[in-house]
Amino acid sequence: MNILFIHEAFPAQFGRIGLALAERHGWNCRFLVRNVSSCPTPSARMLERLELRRIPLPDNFGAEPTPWPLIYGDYLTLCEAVAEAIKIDPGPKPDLIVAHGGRGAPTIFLRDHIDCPIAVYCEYYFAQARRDISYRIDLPPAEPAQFFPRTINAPTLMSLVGADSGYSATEWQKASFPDRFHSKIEVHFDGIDTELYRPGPAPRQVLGKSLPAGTKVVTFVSRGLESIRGFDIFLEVAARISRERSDVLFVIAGQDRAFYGWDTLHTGQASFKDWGITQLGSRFDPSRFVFLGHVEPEVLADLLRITDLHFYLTVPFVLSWSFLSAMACGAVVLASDVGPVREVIDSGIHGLLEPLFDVDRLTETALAVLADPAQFAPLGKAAQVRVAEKYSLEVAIPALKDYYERAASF
Amino acid sequence: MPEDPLHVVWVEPRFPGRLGAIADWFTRKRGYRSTFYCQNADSPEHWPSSVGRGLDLRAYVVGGAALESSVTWPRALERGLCHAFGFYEALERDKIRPIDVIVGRSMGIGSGLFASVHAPGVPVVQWFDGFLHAREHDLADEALADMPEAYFRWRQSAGAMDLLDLENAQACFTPSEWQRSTYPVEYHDTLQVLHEGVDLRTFRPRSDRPKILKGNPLAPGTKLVTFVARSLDRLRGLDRFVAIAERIASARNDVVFALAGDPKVDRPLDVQWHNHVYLDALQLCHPRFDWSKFQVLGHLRSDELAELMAMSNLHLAPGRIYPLCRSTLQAMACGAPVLASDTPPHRAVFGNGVIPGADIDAWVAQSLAVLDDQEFAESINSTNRQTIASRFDRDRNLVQLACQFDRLVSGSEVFK
Repeated sequence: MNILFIHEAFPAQFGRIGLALAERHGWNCRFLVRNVSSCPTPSARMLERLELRRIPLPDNFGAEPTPWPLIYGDYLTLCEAVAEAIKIDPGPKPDLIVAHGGRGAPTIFLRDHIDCPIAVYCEYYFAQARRDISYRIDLPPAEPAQFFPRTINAPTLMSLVGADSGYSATEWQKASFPDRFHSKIEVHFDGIDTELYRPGPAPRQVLGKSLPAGTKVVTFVSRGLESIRGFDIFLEVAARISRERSDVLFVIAGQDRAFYGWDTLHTGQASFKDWGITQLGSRFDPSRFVFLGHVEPEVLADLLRITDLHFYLTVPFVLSWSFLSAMACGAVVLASDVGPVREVIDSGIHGLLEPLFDVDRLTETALAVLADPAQFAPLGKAAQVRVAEKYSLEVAIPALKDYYERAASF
Repeated sequence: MPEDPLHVVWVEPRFPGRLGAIADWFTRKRGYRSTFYCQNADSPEHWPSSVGRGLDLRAYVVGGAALESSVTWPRALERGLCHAFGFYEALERDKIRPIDVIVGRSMGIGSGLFASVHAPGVPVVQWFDGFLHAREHDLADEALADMPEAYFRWRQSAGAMDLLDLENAQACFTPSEWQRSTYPVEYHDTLQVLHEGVDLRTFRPRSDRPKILKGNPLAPGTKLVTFVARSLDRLRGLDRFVAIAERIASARNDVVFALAGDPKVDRPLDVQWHNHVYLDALQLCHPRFDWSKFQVLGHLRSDELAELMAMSNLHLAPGRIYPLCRSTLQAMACGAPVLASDTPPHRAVFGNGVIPGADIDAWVAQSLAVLDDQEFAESINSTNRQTIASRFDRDRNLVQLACQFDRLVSGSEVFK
């Protein structure tokens, strides 16, 4: 098989799959990407084995945040750049194009230049209320919140109606799409690298400093420290935990940046992290918190191996890889009781779920885990098995290979 | 049959457009209160009679990209959102209460997309014209080798507002099966086919009366051949009409050709002639034609149009593949023998009695047959009258829409 993967970032969802298909099955996997990502970063093997081409976009494209009425225009610019890249250098004719559609797969002009089936990665369909960027109505209102959700799906819809098939990572993500598209979308998770994310010994240190004996590590990981992942709620819970226990260190990985929603407008501050800390006032003890910023996958894996409790306080939205990576490492996860998380965790079996906004219960549950780790250790083991059996790369690759082969004949 | 009057808020970029006549019917025939929002309007002589008598015409104001005379193709949706936002702001400004239903026709530039921000829970109904395809239908069907790639990019991407509206609205209508078929298959079940029909009281046959054009009587025995379109453009087949007319005129010297419509091409689909007078170019292409036989009447009022069509001995609809022209149905209702091009929308009305659009010989032969043979003309008329009565009677068709409004309102809360 000859596959052309199109994604704004590399390796993102496709890099590891492409490498596995190339190495195990001899497929020719080429990539048309906008940039090489830092979340996660590509392995040396990926860069060596896979053919990467850049989407020719102006240097300043996307340098500034795009006002919401203009996002479709940006999408079309991206679509045109992808089409031009293929027009100029079509390369060997692919059997299948697989394009990521986080904000719409940039595929709508491709049929003018290439004749092959197109499959889109249907990451998510935004809701007008009660999910994703519209969920945090507890925060001060942001003006675009009424309007943007009614327009944000334009690229997604355009790419989906033009595609031959699509797939989502989870049932919940598929269900976010209008019913009319369900017959067109399969569910295939893209796979957690359980060679990297697995239980095992790891240095008990943070930022190169060894942890004092007896220190409990509580972790929070998110690409951005933002409201959609409940960072402010985590801070509130952490403050309460630290009041009850003096032996806990809160280690936070993620950039001081909001990738989704309107945290700047909600808070009037550039940094949601700073705003969240400000909300705690004197209850915030900086000596109890370590902010790592963005971390490399190997560092993250070590952190998740030593954590005593991992928080995942997302709103109903696309699942974070870090959540499944923590489970894969055998961490005890305390997560928000929302649809996408429930699809992965049966509360009390693979982890613990509590209502997102109930900081009392979150705190009580966290304290219970920290007080008696042995009692909750089976949850971590079950989580690890769950990921291995259902969400690991080893499980994902055969299923995706089968799907791609079928999609190439649609 | 639903009898209760409702308050419907309508929005269409230009009044009366398509929805104006529908709003007028509901206002006059069902006692509805209609508030109609538009960005601009035709001159008042083209307004329906209910304006000021139950139909309240209001303006919405646009900003941003919608203020620019034109925008590059990737900004088309941005411009549409400016219209949708302008309508939302007008609703916020006017605070009309109660609202039972909101009906929009976006045509890609303005819709009811944000109306439910102002009036949550009120059903939004959208009217859809068709989904553009990069290289199919209208003028794209013909080889446009000299068109820039941007033209096809624009066509390929222009449907975004329609998809948002299809997802946002509680009920979606389109006037014909063919128009429905232009949409992605995922939306076919969502789109209900409902043509608003023709006002058969205005558009009806008239007893033999002298033929008068622009106040001047035509000589007795003169045959009148008509062409009517919103604007006199290639899309509706003006080039074909001129070619046919030249040949008819060379075969018969008793024929006068009347054209109704705005001489300036107003559809951006015809990039080459948009905002230009296409007829001027055609005159240069047909230097030997006696143009004194051509009467360009401009944009006529409905009553004037009905008079013209009732006088017509032959009405030609030689357009490209594009939604059915309302004037074609109006001509049928007025008793003008109609010949139409072989397009899917025309086949749905005329069956096999259509003519290959580019086959000028066939057009001329059929046209002369109609003009020569009164019985043949009457046989066409008879079929057309049955079609109009059974499928395009406004009084029948809009009752179906009233039922749909009633159903929607019964499942929602009136916005108070």
